[in-house]
Amino acid sequence: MSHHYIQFTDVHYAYPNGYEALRGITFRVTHGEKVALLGMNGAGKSTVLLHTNGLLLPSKGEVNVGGIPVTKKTAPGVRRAVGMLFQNPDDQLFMPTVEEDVAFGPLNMGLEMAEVQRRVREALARTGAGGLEKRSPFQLSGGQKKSVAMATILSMEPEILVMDEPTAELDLAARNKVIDIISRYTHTCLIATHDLDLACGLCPRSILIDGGKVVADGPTEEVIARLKEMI
Amino acid sequence: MERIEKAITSLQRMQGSGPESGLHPLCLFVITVAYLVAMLSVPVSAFTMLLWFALYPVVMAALTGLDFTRIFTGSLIALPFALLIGLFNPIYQTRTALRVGSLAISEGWISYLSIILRSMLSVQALLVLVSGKGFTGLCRSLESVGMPRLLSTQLLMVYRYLTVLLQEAVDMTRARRARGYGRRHLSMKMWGAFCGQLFLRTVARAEAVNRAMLARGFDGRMPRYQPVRQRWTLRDTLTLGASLACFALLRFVDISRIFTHLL
Amino acid sequence: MHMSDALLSAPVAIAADVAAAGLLVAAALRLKKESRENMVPLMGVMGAFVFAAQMVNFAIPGTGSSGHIVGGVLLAALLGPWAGFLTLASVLIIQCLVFADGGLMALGCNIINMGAMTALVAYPLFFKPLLRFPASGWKVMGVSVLACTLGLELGACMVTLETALSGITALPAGKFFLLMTGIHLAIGVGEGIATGAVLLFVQRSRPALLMPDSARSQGKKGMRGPVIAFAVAALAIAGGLAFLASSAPDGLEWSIERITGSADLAATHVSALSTGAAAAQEATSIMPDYDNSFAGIVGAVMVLILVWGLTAALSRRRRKPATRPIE
Repeated sequence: MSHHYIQFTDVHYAYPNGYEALRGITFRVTHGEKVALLGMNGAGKSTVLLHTNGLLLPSKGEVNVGGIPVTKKTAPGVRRAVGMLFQNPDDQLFMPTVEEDVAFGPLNMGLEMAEVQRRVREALARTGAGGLEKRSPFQLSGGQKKSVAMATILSMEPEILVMDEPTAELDLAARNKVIDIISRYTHTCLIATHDLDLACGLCPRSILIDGGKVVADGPTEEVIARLKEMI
Repeated sequence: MERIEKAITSLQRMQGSGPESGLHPLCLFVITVAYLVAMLSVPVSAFTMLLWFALYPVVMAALTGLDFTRIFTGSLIALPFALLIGLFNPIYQTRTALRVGSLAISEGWISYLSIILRSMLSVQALLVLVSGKGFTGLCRSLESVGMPRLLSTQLLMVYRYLTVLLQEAVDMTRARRARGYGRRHLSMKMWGAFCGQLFLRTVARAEAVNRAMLARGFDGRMPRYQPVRQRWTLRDTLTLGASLACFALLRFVDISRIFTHLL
Repeated sequence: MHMSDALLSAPVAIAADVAAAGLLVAAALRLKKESRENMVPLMGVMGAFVFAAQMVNFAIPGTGSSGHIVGGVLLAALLGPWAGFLTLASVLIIQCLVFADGGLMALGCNIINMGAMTALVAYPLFFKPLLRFPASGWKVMGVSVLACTLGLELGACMVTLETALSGITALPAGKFFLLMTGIHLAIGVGEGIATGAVLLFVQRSRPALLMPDSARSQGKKGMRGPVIAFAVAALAIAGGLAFLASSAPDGLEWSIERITGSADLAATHVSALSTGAAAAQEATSIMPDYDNSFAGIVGAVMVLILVWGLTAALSRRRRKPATRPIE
C-alpha cells in the first residue's frame, strides 16, 4: 500500500432498517491530501467514514484503499492502514488506563513489546498527553480525552487518517491543540466536520455531501460558498 | 439522584490511592482472604477472640499508608443491616454467658456483638484491599492466577462504562425531574420507558465501542499491556508468612486470657 | 437479598465461593466457544446498564415505598443465560468492591443466589420455553413475572439455607424461611413487572435486539447446559458442606439446637453428637469460663485503642495526599 489513496466508486449503503444513507458516492482522495467532508446533520458523512475501513460495507459499488478493494476479508488489513478517530472519545477509550488504550492497536498488530512501548511513548508525546499514562479515562478532561484518543490512532502509525468531528465539544485551547496535531500529520487525511474554520485552515480541498450524494467537490472556499447557499 | 452521583464518586476513588511501591496486589488479596476465613471461623460465642481480629485493619491500613478513619467510617455502611438481623440473637439466646458485677449478660448479646463486629471487620478488610490496590490492579493480578480473561475483561469493561452510563442516567433523570412535577419515584410504566431508553443508549454505545475496537484491530481477544510488571518480592513472602502466622495465633490462642490472669 | 459476611460461617462461605468460581469459569469457557465478535463490548456495557438501572428506583404500587431490579432474567433474556449470568456476576463483584455490599466472602453466595438462580435456573426453565418473541404484552408480562418470582424465591431459599447452615443468627430457620420467601414474593412480582416493562419497550422500539436470542437457541441443548451446571454446583455445595461441617461443629450445633427448639441445649451437652462438638471446641480453646472473660474484653479493647492511636499518629505524618482526578 504505497499509494495512500481512498477511492469511492458509486457507493450505495442502506442501514438494516431500510434507510438509504448513501446513494452513489464517488470521489478519490490521493496521497498526502487533506480533505474536509462537509454536509448537514444526517447527510451521510459518518456513514462514508465508516466505509473507509470496512466497518460498514457498501451494498453496491466499491471502496478501494491503496489498491485493495475493501471487503470483509481485506478489512483487517485495511484497518492497519486507515486510522479512525471517532467523534465521542468515550467510545474510543475503552481500556482501564491511558497507556493500555494507546497500546491496544499496536498489540493487536502483533508488534514486539519494546516496539509497542516506543510507540506508546511517542504517540503520547506527539499529542501532548505525556504524563497521563496511568490515568483512567474518567480522570481526564474533555481536551485530554481527545488528545489521548488521537494518540490511540497515531500509535498504529496509519498511512491514512480518518476523523469524525475532531473538534466537536472542545474548548478553544483544546481545539487549537487538535488542529495543531492534524496539521503536523503529513499523510492522507479525511476529516468530516462542521467546523468551517478548521476546513479552511487545514484542507485545501473539500467534498460536500447532501442526501447521500456528492453535490460539490473542489477548493474549500468554493465548496463552503455552495454549503452556505444550501442553507 | 444524589445516590448515583455518590456512586460515581466512589467509583472514581476505587482507582486506588495506595503508594506505588506497596505490596503485590496478589499478596494483599491472599492475606485478606486468609484474614476473613480466620475471622469468620471464630464462633460467635467467642467475642473476646473476635475482638483481637479488629487489630488487622488498623495495622494493615497503617502499613499500606491508608487513612484508617476513612476505612472505619466506610465500614459503618453495613452496620444497619447487622444491627437489624442480629437483633434476633438476644431474643432467642437468653442463657447467661458472663457476669459483670451483678449484671448478667446473655449469650444472645455476646453473639449480637459478634455479628456487628464481624460485619464491620469484613467491610474494613475489603476496603483496605480495594483502596490500597485499586480495582484495575486487583483484576490484573487475579487474572495472572487463573481468573478467566473473559471475566477480567468483563469486569474492567463494566467498570469503565459505569461512570459513563451512570452519568447518562443522571442526565436523563434531571431532564425528567425538570418536567416531573415533583414526583419522587417513577411509576412502573415510566420506569420501564426510562430503563428502556437507557437500554437503547446502552446498545448504541456498545455498537460504537465495538466499532472503535474493530477499527484498531480487535479480533475477539483482549491484548494485555504490562511493560513493567510488579514482581513478587521477598517482602511479599515475608509479609504473607507473618500475616498467616498472626491469624493462626489469633484464631487458636486466646490472647485475652493473659489479661484474665492479670486481673 | 444481599447475603452478608456477618451472617456466614467460614465453611459455608468458602463452599459457595468455590461453587460460584466454578460456574464463572464454566460460563467463560462456554462463551469463549460461542465467541461472537461484538460480545465483549456488549456484555461490558450491558453490565453497566444493569448497574445503572438498579440505582433508579420505581414506586411499588400501593405501598409508598420503592424498589429496584436485580436484573438476572432481564440480562438472560437479552444476552442469553451464560452471558447474562457472567454479566450479572460482574455487576455483583463490582458492587461488592465499590459499595462493600455483602462483603468479599459472601460474594459466592450472592453470585449463586442472585445470578445463577435467575439467569441459569429460572430463565431456562420458566422463561425461555414459555416465551418466543414477538409476543403480546400480557404474555411478556406474565412470563416475566413468573420467571422473576420463581428466580427470586429460589434465591431466597438459598439465603435461608446458607444462613441456617452457618448458624450465626439465632433466628429459627423456619421463621426466617417464611420471612424471606414472603418478602421475595412481593419483590419478585415487582421485578417481573419491571423486567416485562423493559422487554416490551425493547420489543416495540428495537425488536431486532430480542430476535438473535431465539435464533441463537440451539434447541434443547442450550437449556440443558445451565441446568446440568447448576446440579453440579448444587452437589459441590452439598458435598463441600458435608465435608466441612464435620470439621466445624459450631454450625452443626446451632442447627441441632434449632431442630430441638430448645434454647438450653447447652445443658444437654451430653448428647452423643455434641460431645464431639464440645471436645472440638475445647481444642480450639474458646473461653471455657465465661465469668472471667470480661477482663479479656477490657484488655483487648485497650490494646486496640492503643494501636489505633499509635498508627494514626504515625501515619498522619507519613501519608501522601491522595491523588485527585483533574477536571
